[in-house]
Amino acid sequence: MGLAVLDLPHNTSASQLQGYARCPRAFWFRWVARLQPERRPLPLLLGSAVHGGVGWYFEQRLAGRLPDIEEAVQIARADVAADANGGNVSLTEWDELEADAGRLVRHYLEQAGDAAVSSVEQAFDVPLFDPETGETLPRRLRGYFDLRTENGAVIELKTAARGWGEIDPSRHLQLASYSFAAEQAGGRSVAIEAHVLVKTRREVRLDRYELKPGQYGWWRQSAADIERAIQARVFPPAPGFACSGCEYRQACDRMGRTERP
Amino acid sequence: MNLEKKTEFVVRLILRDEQGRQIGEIEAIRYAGLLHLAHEDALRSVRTELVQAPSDANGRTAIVRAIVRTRRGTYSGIGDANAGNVNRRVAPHIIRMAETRAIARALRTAVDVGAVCLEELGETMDTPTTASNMQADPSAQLAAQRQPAGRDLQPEVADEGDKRPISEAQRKYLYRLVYQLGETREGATSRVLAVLGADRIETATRVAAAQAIDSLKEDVAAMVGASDQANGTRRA
Repeated sequence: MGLAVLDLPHNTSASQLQGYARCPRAFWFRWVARLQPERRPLPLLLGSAVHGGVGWYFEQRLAGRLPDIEEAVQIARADVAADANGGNVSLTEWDELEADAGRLVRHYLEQAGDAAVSSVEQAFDVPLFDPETGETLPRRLRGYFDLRTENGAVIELKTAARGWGEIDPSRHLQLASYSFAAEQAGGRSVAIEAHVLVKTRREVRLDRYELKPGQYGWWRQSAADIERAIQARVFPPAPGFACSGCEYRQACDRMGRTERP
Repeated sequence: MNLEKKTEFVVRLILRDEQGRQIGEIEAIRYAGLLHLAHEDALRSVRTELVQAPSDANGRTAIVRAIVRTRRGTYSGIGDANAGNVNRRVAPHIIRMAETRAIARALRTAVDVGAVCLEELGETMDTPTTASNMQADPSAQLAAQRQPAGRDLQPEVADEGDKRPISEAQRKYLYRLVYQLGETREGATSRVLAVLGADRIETATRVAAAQAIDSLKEDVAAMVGASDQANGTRRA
């Protein structure tokens, strides 16, 4: 039994590219079939709450108010409650999420709360090209920059259980997507900063990575390859350790169960 | 309105026979897309009238007339629904389905879209693949649980008659407001449910959520006003 022929999302995004690279089958469940996740992974809930608190803080500043960091922490707690309500989260996990979200928001804003942010959640919508033929790909790249500074730099906020270590940001599908989008939208090269909030056992750490303009050749080729595979409706599973924590584990397990012996 | 904008909301459905063989294709537009296009055309009003209530004498068929006004003019549409031409899941709600279809037909004329609306199709209330008659395919059954795509950038906005469920952005907005009103996690959900008038948050509609947001914002404004007044009194 194959996957149903459903219409693809009209646009692609940094998350879609990364999601497809992780597991094409999970991509199909999330973006094509748009299934309700069976569970929402805690790291995702944590990241969402931290984004909520930090985004709110800078929106308030842009509106001319002087928000208190503890108010942003409270926003993050409210977001945790909103997600936990329908997310099969135990009370212990809820406690941890609240505490972690609070610590991460507080730490980030203490370190970077005075950044000259000029916009929050700024939308972008740019065409994608095949790097070899120059052909415009069917789906446009759409998304939102977490934060943009007055000098035009893009800040992407990430939460992680471990530091990224010595990664090459030019081989990071999300960061390079933002870099490409910022350049296409603005007509000039733009630096991308990844602010990675690392929750270790005893502390919170803020690591910064910068992707220099013009370093996204690998990304262009990879994005075009992924888009072609999606257009060809190639959605095989990518079995591995990540399956145990997958939001669509049961749905994936059900695939093929109706096969005749 | 440009063609690209219209085609953005159009989906292509593959029609299959009982054996799963492809027998054709049809283009359809989503109701949400029609509404969006109508709003771009400055949708001014949508009025509906129940022309025929379902009864045993008429085969339990509901007929509704819709009149839509945009800046371009006034457009009307008729919609009918009975147990034989709707999805089984919506069979108990044929008046509402007839209304949705009537509005969809009026909106299609208003925004100049020739493609049929998904909601006008019998087996495709909100699951495009079921038009493909793919009941034997487990993934098609999964598709019946499809979630809305994209971000909700206007959680405070909902049109009367909007049948969509509460969005994630609306849920978060409600929790932020009740936290602002001093609730903690122990009482937050009860308060959100109370203001929504629902037993469970996921059963609330977008319209109810937008109204709840308005109501809580008024409470917050009153609380801030009272606090300012108290501070002013103390200062005085």
